[in-house]
Amino acid sequence: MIGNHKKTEMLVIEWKNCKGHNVKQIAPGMLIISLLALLALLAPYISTYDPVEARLDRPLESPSLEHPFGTDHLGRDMLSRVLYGTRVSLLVGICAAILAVFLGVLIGLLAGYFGGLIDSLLMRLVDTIYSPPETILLMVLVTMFTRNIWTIILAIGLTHWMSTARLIRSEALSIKQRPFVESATALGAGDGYILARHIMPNLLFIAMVSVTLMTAHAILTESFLSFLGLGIPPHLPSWGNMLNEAQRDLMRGIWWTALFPGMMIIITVLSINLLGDELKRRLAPNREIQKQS
Amino acid sequence: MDRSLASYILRRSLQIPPLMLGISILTFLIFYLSPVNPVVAYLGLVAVQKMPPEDVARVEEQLGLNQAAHVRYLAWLERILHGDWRFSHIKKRPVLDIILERFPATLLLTLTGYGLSAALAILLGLYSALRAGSRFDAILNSLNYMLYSTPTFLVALLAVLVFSVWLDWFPSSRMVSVNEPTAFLPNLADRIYHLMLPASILAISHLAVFSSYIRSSLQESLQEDYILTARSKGLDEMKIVLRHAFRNSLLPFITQVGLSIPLLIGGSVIVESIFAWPGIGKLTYDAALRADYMLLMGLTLFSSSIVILGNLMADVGCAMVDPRIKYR
Repeated sequence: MIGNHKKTEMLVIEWKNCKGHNVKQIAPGMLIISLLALLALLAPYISTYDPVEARLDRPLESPSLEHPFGTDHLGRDMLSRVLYGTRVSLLVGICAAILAVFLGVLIGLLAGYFGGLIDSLLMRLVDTIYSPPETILLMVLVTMFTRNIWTIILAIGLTHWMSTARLIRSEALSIKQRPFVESATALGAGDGYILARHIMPNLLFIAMVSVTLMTAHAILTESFLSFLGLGIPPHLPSWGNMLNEAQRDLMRGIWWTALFPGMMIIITVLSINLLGDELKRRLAPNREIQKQS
Repeated sequence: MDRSLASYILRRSLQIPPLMLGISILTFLIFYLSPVNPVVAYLGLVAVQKMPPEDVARVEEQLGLNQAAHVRYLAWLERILHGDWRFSHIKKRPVLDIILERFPATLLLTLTGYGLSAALAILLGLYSALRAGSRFDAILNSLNYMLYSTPTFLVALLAVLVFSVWLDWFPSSRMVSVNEPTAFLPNLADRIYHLMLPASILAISHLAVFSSYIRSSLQESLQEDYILTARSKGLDEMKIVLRHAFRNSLLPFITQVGLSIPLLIGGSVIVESIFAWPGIGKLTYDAALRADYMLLMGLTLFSSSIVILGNLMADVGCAMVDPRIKYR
């Protein structure tokens, strides 16, 4: 869980360099994610139990045909909860990632394209928000403001845009100096036109890769906050919330309330990372090498 | 110490005050913009509920809450600079005292975790860079990738389950045993015993990032021309790797370690909460759960300062190892 977007990219390069163990196809990641999305959509049809209905007559039943993932301490069906948890995780992950990358692109573009005072002010803002440890800043934000699924998305988005902003800024700086931008300026194109027609299209792929990798990280962050009891409100089925409640069960040797949500987090994050890696290879190859020169 | 290094340290240090100012503004703004009632934040909800309304109004007056935001910020900043970080109402003590008291425990845990992680990462990274493409390398990379996609708390839960509940090898909570003597030396063994599991988990959570960093930078170094020169001179391969390639790949690693300090403090929140380790991570968790806003503001300021100092130290460390940096 520990790590940030930059590190994800680094590991991705690492993974790519690893000979003989390449994941050459986009398929595996894509397939699992589609499957997860399908599970999230069809949750009410796959499991007919209400994920939040407590049935105290059947607490902590081990997995059986009736309850394939068992039941938790309030007798709620774990399969239903895990399936509905997919909805929460994907929603939070994707929305927070889009928000973070949107903010990052916006601020990075402004800083990189206009330069000067705007650039130094915005970059000082990036430095400032980078200073408090991400987890502590997030915990402070979710404690001080009201806590629901949308404020969690907002909090994750607002604390994760800085790496994208730095990346986009340096890309915008280099694109700005290319001949096609120069000729557009010579032909009398305004800032808005150049940004929209020449710079943005060149950043689209990077933004797509960033959103994908950021989604994985946002899902981890949400599960971490919920696990601490500081994330998604406890009545909603989120994988982090389930693991929070499963802590006590684990000490008594009850494994099914922890295993299934835990597995789901790993599978989801792993497949999104794999997809992001493959997208990066295809859409933004050798970007680091370009940046170094 | 030579002059250029001193001037580099000075130039680098001058970046700190504006950054600290930025952080103080950020901290204040979060509190100012939040729907938290400042009187509740200062005195605690229970105390405010017991107070008659006139008293609440008087406290508001005394705290200057009806003044403009910038006046309040400056007054707050002045108090912070004077070391008055207000009272924590869950601990009933001054915020700064509590943080300073708890910090050594976090330092002990994180430094042990860091040291373990760096040492293991160097070993694994070295080995897999030298055996690039081998089965060991492939397995290590898959494991790293897997570990990277696993939340730290899950690793910690699994470790508690296996090593504390099933095998009963290590304690699952606290820093010392309940009935041990409290003097430092007599219970050193007990402390180490309690430290081992949480520190290992902290180490494992950074291992993926660190070891792949060593591996990729080492592989990069091994492609350089001076390695070719060294090989053509007929130098021993071990010497080439350790003396020539590894020393150069250590540099980005130091930077990486410095940049990971915020992540390490973040990781300590999880590990400390799960193991009831009495450091600032657990303190943050308690403060968040029981809505101790003054303590949270203090922790934001304090942890940011640690991160800034850590980054400074990493930069200075790099400049000492690499003479090129000083002249930038």
